[in-house]
Amino acid sequence: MKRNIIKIYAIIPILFITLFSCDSYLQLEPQDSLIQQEFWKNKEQVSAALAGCYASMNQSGFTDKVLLWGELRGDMLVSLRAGNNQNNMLKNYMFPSNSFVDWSQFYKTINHCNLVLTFADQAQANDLSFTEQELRRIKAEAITIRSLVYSILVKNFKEVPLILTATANTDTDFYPAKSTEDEIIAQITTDLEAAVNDLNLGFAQSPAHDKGKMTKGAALAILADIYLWDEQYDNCIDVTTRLVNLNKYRLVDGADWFNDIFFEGNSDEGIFELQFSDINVTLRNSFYVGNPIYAPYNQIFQLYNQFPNDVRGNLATFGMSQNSVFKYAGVDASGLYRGQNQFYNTFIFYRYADILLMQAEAYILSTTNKDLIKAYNLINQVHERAIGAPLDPISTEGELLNALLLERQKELAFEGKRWYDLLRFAKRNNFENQYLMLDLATVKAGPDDYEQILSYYSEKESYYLPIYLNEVNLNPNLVQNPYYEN
Amino acid sequence: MRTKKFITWLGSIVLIMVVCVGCKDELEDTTFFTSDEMTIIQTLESNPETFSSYVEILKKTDLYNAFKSYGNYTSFVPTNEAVKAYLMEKFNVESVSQITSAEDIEFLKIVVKFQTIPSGRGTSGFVEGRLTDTTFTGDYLTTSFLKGGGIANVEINRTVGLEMYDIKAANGLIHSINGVLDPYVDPVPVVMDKAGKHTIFVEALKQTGYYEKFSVIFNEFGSKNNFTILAESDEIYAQEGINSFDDLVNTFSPNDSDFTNPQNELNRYVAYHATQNFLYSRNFPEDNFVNTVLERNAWKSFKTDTELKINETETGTDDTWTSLIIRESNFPAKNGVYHTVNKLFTIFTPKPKHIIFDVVSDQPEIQSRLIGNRVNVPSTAYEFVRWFPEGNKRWSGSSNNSALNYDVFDVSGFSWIEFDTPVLPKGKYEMLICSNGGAGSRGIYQTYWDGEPVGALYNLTLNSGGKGFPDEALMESRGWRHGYKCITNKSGAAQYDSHSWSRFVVTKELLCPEQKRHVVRLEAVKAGVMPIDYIEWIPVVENGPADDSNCYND
Repeated sequence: MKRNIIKIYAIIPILFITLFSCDSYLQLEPQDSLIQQEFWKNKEQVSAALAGCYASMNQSGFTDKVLLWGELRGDMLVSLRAGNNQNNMLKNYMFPSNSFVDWSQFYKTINHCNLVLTFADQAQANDLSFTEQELRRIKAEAITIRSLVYSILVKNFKEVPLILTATANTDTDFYPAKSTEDEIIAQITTDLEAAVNDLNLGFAQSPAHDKGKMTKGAALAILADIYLWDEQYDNCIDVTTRLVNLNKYRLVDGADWFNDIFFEGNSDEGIFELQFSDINVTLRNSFYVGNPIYAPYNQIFQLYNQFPNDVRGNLATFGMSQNSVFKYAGVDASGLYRGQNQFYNTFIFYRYADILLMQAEAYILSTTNKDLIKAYNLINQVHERAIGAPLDPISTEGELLNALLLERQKELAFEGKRWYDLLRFAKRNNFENQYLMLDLATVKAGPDDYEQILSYYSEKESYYLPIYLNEVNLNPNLVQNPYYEN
Repeated sequence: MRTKKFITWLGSIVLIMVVCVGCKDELEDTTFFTSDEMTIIQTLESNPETFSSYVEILKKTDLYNAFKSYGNYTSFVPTNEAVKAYLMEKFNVESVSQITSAEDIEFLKIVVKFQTIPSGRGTSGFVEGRLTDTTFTGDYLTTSFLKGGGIANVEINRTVGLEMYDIKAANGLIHSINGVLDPYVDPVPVVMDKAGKHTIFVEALKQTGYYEKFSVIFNEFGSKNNFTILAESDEIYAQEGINSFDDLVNTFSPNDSDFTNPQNELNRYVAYHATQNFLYSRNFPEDNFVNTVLERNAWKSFKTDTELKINETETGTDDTWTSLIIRESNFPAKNGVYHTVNKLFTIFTPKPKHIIFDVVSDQPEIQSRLIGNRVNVPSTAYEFVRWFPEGNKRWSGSSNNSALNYDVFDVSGFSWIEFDTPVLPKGKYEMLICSNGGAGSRGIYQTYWDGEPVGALYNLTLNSGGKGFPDEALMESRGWRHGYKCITNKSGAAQYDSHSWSRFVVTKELLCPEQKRHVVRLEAVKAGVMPIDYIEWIPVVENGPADDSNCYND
């Protein structure tokens, strides 16, 4: 009996120890990283999250697609040693298993933005130094980034799932269906129109801050682009006018065209340029002169010969002797090239010349505000800056459109714009100008595959990309784009 | 004591029972699969609403189990509606079960074999022209993009379209098609005749006797004939003012109506329209001659970045060549293919040009895949190669070979071997030969040209020192030149950099007074292995470009 009591006395302390000492073992929160409940407490954390939105664009998985989705299917680049996926895209031979159409990187950025938009409010409530105005500015930047990403997606896929809430817990709808092109564009335009008011005009710290962050100008530029894409010409004229009236941007002088805009970057002309603290891998891999993946399609050289004084020609846009994309790979007109570790380029999304030409296009095509003289003057601003002499007078709408498309091709070569320009021109009035697409087959074909390539370019629905197979497999509500269903 | 024994007994019995029962194989009667992916058959059977009729055909023809077997097949599978329509058209019956006669079942077997390729071909391998591999009936299927709209609108054999494509199965790929691919039965002239767009040319074929000649499917040795015919359509003739066969006769042979005579101009004209090669439009050589049925003549084929030019003159004026009207070309038949040319196609006399003769890839039997890689065959299997003494020999292709087209004629143990050359335009040439040499086991040969010995001994046993490699001047003085830089193996090792692939200069002055095929014979002085790659002829032209080891396409 006595022994039993001793046993019991021994057991009780052991029980106590076991029950109470385990406290830290039962704690499930990770020790080595932040969790959501501890984040979103103050202004600094929200700013950091916003920086994360920018950083998510700042990698080759994102910029590769921004550049190459806009160029490969067009007529500016040829492949020297591109991979299979890119080679197929060069021929517009697209199918859902081509991983180069994977949009996940874009949705990552969208989710970063949605997180900021969802949780910034609670941080502001928690942090007295976080003003209402700052909150609105940060949210407007996130909205602008998200709108930029959706504008890229809608131009490439036409219909994509519109996700406006953060995926932060399991209540999220993991199987969103596609929204229509109109819904997406309406969302972008409403979002941006609202965001413009809250955005800063600029940032004083440095040109890199000023061009690298979303400002009023950037939001207006994205708006102008999407209005033009959606054929809302009066709205396009309106936002481009507002952008011009900001009086913040100007065309750089012709003599400085290459050096200011492309070699140094963040010029007076830049509106939104992605900044890289390290190498711009996309441009380095694609165009480094020692081992480029792509080269200019050699027929474009002649375009620039039309005016011998064009500052955008040899050793500016392209390098004739090396068959290079000089715009990004070059250093100066002596023919010097960037070394492999010197690709500190920015990645230009919008610049002022682009805006002027957008406005010109809207003036030509608007029914209520049609003004061919204004359009001519706008095209001529860009033209005369490069040539030093005015454009020959043009009066008819058709000729102006041709001159505009050509000016865009020369001014914005290799800036990820060409395919969208061609498609925008081709698809007007129910594909009135489909020949622009069909003509690409002649550029791409060899003696054996003309019919084949022509065939790839002949179907209107093939001008939009397929949804990557994995996405369709994972999401039962996601319907593959027409033409790619099999 | 008794109980102890009893216990031992009992124990042993229990032990034996345990052993016996325990030995039962738990896995008996279970079949294991190397993969849990569905086979072609399983895929088809799981979609009966689309494929049940074809599965029925497979069962009926006893080919059902074949599609369960290991392999990598491409199976074109017609949908139920397609099968129904085909049965109605061919046999006038509603369903597969109504087919009973042995003859009809035999035909269905051919149909199934014709829908099946022994290697996997996804849509990414589809081109304008023929697919690389033949079906189980030995025929090429063609794919065509002419309807536009990309992969979704591709036509197989210019007749049926794809419903679903690239359906993966464990043992191959399935493409579902909206019609049954009708096996080729007719030879080229009959197909042309039935199509009805070339009536004048078909009449000319008949009058000259070539209709029958081009209709022979198997030659006397039992191997398959191939013909590629270039023909003018009635429309093209009309552009030249030829509206009937009589007009054609008046153009070419107004005073001689003995059209079957090989000397007759119309006969020659027709013979010049065909070659015994199997050439879809994309198979025309980049820059070379194609021998025609008309002896001692050839088409000159040249491809630019964008165009195929046949018989381009060298006057420098534009538009002197003939090309194919692609929409009216690449029509397959049992023994070849026909194309429509875009203008009157007359006999062309080429100037001498650099000709490189790949003794393997340029043989029609190898082009049509009748003789496979490393398969030993007798010399009778080839029309244009002979050797002595009889014995089976092989060619061998390997991507490790720095050989032209990665293949060599890999022969040994002969006293002589001879090749019929391509047609050489008349002129004066240097003749060079390239084999993989430079080892003691190789042979030494004397070259004969049309029966006459020519040049010095071709000593394949020489090593780099013996050839003077790599000093170009020293090599030249000993009769050797570097191989080409542009001929490499798949990892990029060039002939130029290896002494074993040096070219031997047989002679620097070979006179060909008339345009025709010649015979090159190599007779063994010392027997040995001879992996021969190519023979080439470089025109000797005053002020012409010198032989350049960079590349043969100058």
